[in-house]
Amino acid sequence: MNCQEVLNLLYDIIDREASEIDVKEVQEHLKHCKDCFGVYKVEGALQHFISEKIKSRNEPSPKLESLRMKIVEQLDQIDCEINPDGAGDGASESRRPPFLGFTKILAAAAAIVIIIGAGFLISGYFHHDEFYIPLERAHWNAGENLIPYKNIQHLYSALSHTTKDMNYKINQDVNNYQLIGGQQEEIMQANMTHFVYADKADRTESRLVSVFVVPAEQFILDEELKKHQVTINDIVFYDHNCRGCRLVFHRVGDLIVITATTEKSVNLLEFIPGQQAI
Amino acid sequence: MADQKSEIIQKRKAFEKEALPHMDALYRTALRMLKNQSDAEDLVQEAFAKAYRFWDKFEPGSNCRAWLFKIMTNIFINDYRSKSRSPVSVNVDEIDDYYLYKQMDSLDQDGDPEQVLFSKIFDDDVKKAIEELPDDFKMVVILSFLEGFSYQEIAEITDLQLGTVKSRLHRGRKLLQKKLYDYAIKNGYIKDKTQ
Repeated sequence: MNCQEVLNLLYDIIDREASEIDVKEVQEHLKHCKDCFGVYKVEGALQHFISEKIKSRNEPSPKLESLRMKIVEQLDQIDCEINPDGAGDGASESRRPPFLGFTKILAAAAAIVIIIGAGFLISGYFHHDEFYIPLERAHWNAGENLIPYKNIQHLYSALSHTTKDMNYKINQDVNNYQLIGGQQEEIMQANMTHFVYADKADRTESRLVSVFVVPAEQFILDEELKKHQVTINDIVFYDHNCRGCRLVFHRVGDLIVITATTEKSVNLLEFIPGQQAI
Repeated sequence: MADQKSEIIQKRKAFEKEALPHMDALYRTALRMLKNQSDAEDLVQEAFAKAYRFWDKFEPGSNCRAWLFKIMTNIFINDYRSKSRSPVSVNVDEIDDYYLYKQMDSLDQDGDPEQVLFSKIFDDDVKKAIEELPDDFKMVVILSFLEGFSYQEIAEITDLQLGTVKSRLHRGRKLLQKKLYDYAIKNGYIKDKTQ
């Protein structure tokens, strides 16, 4: 190789784009040619210098973490757009899930079973992403992170870490659903106990039901939610549906109980023991 | 309903696993392409939103990092470039090849001349020199110097011919050399014998 050929390969070699044969021939040339060696040395050193300098300007991680959160929120919004049922616009009649069809309220001796009337559901459709998404996310992840059910004492003990009010009665069976596990979780800065129920006949992830129990003083209900409250026979509920995940908020004593499911045929209120008005 | 939901969850999980880890790299590149943090954040957010919407177009197993950079570069070219376009104050072709090497002889310094020169150039000078590059050069310089993309990858990301990538990189280097040298002289870090 002559000097011109060697210099033509300069940046290919610095950028590691040259073939092995070229690299060897250039190395051979540089051993004997002081001028070319000088060019390679300065250019190589400059490349190294600039790369080091621009790479060393790393951003502080809190900045990156807040950007990551913004992006995740944005993805949540896109998920809502894609899934019209979750878009909060009521969609079309035919899209209404079957759980909207209940018309009666029944009071039983042991527990009041509330069935949601169809009338309030239009007002029950609304959407305020930030408030619900952490709950939906916890529900979606229920199948993966769950501490499996061992015995009822174990779950009461988990509950006792969330609340001192131990009047909450854990239902082990609700119709064809069975308690399969539970644990404490911190969701939206609140200390919650998260119970998970599975359909006895079909234990797939999409048929799980989550019940979150949280002391009322730790969980301030979103103003947006209050606008859409529903009162039936002095019993107050908040109902939300986004991305195919439905959340029902209800107060039991000093606790707030939030039930979540993606399976629309489930009557979520049955999972709440001893309801009372908020 | 359940199918649609699990589809969304699957898509979301794949995206968070494959694409989101590249956020740091996209952001540091955006920061160097644009002058302020808030524009850089907007650009990265837009890029991820677009990538998520077009996630079904991404071929699993292919180079996700390059794919994301291509999306971000496109948005940058279409929506951001005019905002940050810097005037080309120097005619690149008038700068000699191997500019810095050719200046070394004229440096009034003892020791290894390029090491003396580099030791006197501050981080901010490098930052400024890169910021002041015309966008076309700046983009390929950053993709190569900062992100270590190959010529071929840069060609795909920027939709340029391989030859154009190489020529812009070459010219970007010349401009950087001239600027860094000028800063060093101007700030009096080093003395040019001829002055």
